[in-house]
Amino acid sequence: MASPSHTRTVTLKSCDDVEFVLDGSVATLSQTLVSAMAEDSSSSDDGTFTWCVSNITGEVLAKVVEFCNKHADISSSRGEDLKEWDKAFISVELDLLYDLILAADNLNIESLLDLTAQRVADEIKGKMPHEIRMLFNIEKDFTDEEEREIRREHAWAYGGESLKSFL
Amino acid sequence: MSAYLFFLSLFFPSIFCLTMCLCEMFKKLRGRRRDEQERSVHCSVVTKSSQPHQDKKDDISNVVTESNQLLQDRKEYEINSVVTKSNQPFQNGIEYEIGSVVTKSNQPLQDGKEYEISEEITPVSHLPPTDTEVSNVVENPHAGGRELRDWCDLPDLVLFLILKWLSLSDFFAFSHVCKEWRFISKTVKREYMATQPPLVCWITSTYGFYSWKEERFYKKNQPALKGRRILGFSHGFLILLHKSDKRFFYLVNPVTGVEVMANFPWFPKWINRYAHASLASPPTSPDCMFLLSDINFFCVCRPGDLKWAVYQRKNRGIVILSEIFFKGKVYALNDKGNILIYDPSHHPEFTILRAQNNPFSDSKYCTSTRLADCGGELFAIQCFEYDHRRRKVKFVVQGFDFMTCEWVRLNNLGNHVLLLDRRRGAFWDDAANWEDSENCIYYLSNHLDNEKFYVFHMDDGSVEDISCPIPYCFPFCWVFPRLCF
Repeated sequence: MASPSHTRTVTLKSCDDVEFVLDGSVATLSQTLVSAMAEDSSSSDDGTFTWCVSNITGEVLAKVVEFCNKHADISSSRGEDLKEWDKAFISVELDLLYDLILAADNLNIESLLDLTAQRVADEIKGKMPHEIRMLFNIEKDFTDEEEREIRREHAWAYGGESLKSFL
Repeated sequence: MSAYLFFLSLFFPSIFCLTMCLCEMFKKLRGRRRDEQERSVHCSVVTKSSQPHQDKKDDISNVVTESNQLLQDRKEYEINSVVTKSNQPFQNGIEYEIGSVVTKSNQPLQDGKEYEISEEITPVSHLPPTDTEVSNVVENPHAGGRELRDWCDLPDLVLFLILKWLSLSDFFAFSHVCKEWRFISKTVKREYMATQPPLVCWITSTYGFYSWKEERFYKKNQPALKGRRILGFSHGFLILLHKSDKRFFYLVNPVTGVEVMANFPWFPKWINRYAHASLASPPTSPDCMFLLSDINFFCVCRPGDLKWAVYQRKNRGIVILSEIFFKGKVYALNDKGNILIYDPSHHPEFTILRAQNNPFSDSKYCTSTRLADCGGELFAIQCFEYDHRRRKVKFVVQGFDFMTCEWVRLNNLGNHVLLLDRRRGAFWDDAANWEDSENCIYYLSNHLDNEKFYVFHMDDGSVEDISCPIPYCFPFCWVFPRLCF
């Protein structure tokens, strides 16, 4: 039995009314779309399905669609190539990265979530907490008690970088 | 002010009545204001989410004001004249004018719900804004700016996925960024630590760990530990020997520094430099036992015992090569390949499991034989050093089959690694925690008078060295983060 998603095309509509038409098989990367289509399949049989994403702009959605098209076509591209492609794809500014994360979460696209999380982790690596806060524009909101607890962990989490001080 | 008047009235009774009146007035005024604030919180009407009204200004007329979030924190945002600038919905940058009141909202419009209670709208503009209200308006970082993104507020799932990619020091940095991130990292701490490879721990003038995955030190400020000697790591505790009186033992959690008084009897003699110790179970468990292995003997006791059960290694022509806690008892391997099982409560008796074969008779180049508990199976690891200057080293691993009482040579550890320490310890770990390495043995050896860590690959017998600047000849041990945090 063919899954309904393979027989249809899906129209994604961004919050600023930009539309993208996806092949049904591409749309299956998004768990949100899969379940939405499953619910909808009984009512309409015209082969198209329209889904509005309320908080994703056309600019971001275009990236998401680009990602899905590439990854749905996985059979034609080898693993290494895809890795390279992913790397280039995710080299975006932090603002766009944030929007991509929310879009991936909203549409529930596992591979995109993984990729975006890895990029955020790369940004965090090797940085001190205050540097991370500065990078992501985060405000410190700890209570005094938490501050004390952190200071205790601080001593050994960051101290002793050099061998000299250790020996 | 009322307090001041009250104070005056003590001296001038005639003012007293006036004071009381004033107090009543104050109370009434305050009460009224509180009522109004309460009402205004409920009044809101908000509009709709972006899409339906994307470009229709008319749809949002006569309407006010409070966003979801504002309602949640029970604050009002409210300015007389005029405009709405909301974040997401109006990404095109268009401003919407709504009569005389203003909405400044961020998230709430996203949900696309209408909140319409128009009858109850109380224009709140006649209330004099308090200091806090004013400052709230000013400080709300999201008001009107879509370029500000709240990274703290990322979905939990995404934060979990980020943590998966972080090393131990980055994990701590992550948990020190903000409340939300700290909460997530505390929630998954246990799972995270389970994926971390062991650290090398030793005590010199300072105390800390070395992580060679990250090639960095974690120094820990524990002055009390200085000068103590590490005898081993077992069930999440470092087993330490007292600084000056080398007959006293301590158990310390290597991360928290929490010390457990080990109620073991004094050991009657001084202990050798490379003695090794382990526990049968956590020190709080009633089955806890302590095993101390030295060159010529090994000994066992339970907390509260008055003396140690001491076993000589060489006894009636039989030599005991290695001994460990296995399934709650002491299992020892002798040079005939047999296994001796000791129960300290029946000292000095033991039961013997006679092996069908003896792969341990050839001891010409064998420098050490150790037993290891590998996930409920008993392994023996022999190290042969033919010429360690040229790194001609070989490890042979045997597993004991309890059904047939046979030693079976293993050529493959599967996706596991074995970790040997300088003394008699051997640990078994899941290589999922180790990058690019499985089926290999980590050990320490002298090479050209330099002590170094090496990796022996079981599949092709090759040896490579890895950087770990461990101080020469200091006892160290492997510490597993999953057991300590």
